[in-house]
Amino acid sequence: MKTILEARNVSKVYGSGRMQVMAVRGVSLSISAGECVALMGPSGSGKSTLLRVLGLISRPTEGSVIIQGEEVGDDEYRRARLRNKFFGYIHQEFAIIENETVERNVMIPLQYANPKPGRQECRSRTRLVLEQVGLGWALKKNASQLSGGERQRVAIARALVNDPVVVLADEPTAALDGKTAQEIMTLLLSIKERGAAVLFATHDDRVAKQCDRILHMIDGRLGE
Amino acid sequence: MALRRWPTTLALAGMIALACMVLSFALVDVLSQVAVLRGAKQLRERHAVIFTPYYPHGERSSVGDDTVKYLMNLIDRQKAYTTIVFNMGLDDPNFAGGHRTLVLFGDVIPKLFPDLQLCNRAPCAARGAKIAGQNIDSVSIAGESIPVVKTLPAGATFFDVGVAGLPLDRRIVIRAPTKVLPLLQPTEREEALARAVLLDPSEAVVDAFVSGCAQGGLFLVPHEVAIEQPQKFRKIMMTSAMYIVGMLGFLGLVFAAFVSSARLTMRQENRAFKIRQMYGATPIHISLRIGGFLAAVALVPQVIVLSLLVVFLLMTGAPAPGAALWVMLALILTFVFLWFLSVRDVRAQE
Repeated sequence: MKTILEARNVSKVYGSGRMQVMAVRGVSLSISAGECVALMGPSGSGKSTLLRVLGLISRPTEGSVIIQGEEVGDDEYRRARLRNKFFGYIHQEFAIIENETVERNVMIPLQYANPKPGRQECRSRTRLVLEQVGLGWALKKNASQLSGGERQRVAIARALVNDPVVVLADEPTAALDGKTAQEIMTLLLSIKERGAAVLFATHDDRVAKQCDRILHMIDGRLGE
Repeated sequence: MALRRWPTTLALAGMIALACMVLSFALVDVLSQVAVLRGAKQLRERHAVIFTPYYPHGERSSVGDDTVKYLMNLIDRQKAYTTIVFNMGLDDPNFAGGHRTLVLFGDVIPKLFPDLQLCNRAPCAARGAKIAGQNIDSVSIAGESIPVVKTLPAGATFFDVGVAGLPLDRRIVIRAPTKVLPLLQPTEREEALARAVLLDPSEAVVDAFVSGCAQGGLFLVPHEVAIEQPQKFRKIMMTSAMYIVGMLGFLGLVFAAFVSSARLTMRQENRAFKIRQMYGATPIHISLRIGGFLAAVALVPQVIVLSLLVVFLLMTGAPAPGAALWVMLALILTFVFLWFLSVRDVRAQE
């Protein structure tokens, strides 16, 4: 299968001097289209940092990230364009904007798309993706009125609305009860059917076992 | 963002608009005071000598024409000027249409007080802003008809060494020729002599003038403005300074309250900015969002209110209508500073 996302000898250091923390140490990996990969490891092992670097939210201290064969440089505008076009992000803490409607939360990636779809198209795509995650009824609801599971569904809908190539999910079920967590997992695994790759950061075996490949991370280093 | 946080937006916008209004009104007053203080500075720089009249027997003086001509000569050489504030035309109720007057002798006066925008070339007269609508074509002094040719700007204030700030809005200000000085009534003439202001005079000039007046029963005690005026006007300067300091303190408090509220709101919005950045918002997008919010809170409503205030001040003929424009400028600078600060804060948290 074709490699769509690659990390080459990536390291990430936070702080400086005696306060320096090396969160990721010389990690190399590649992810193919339609693949589901689980990144496992204990808390503080560098999973979230690696996901942030791969998702172009943080810059690597060393090494490079390659998307569809092209190295991503430092140009912030190019990185922003790639974040919008290429990635969908799902976080443990249901990263949604409070006091904003579900519709407007989900529409955010479309606002920064290039070319930007028309208002009608934005609305219809938002409605469609919300129906796919089972939240068609919540379109005009305020996001703060939703339960934890529903908020995570909003975050998934937002991650999918722009048809991303890779979805990065950082502990997406950690804050949910068992039943809701399984519902969310089923939903996330269905992303593969859309042709997108999914990279999970998790320390939950049950989540990892549902993936095609499991990578283990300890002290910032990677091992299969 | 501003709409989503409308209670905060409304409260902050209202608070800042109110502060701007109060500041504008305060500034109108301060600018008037500053004009007066500038007049005082001019006299100090010219080493002006003024006089306090002293009446040992309470008798009316009768100063000879020689001394009056001596003063005329000094005035014509722009080495002196004088004024009549209280006693002009006392015996004629219709003098200057019954309005109070200020009679000025000396072509040096417009040079000393350019802010007054007096009429050009004596003899001429100007009406105060608040009697602008009244039909007074000319005034007559000692048979000399002096045309009223213009209206003074609103809030014009003459720096009079005796009474400090003399508001001119309800006075006719007459620039009279020196040739009428010897023809004035005794009380008018006495006031003109007592109010003489000698500029850079030598001791001999002061002595000659004082002794000439004393021979006519008008005893004048000379004072050098540069030495005595600072003490005399200390109170006025202190009041102005306190006023300015108080106003700045008020401005500082409002500014601090606003900056902390705005930054708190920005911190609360940090998650939203992060989400937007995650999905492709560039630094320009984020800057524009922050700028939009700050403009809705601290710029657009206030600029509208201040523009209306400028129109109101102009229509009512209030002094220093430009004060609101200065507040507007301060507001724009604050907005730019805060925008820069907020964008820097948000980007630093990336």
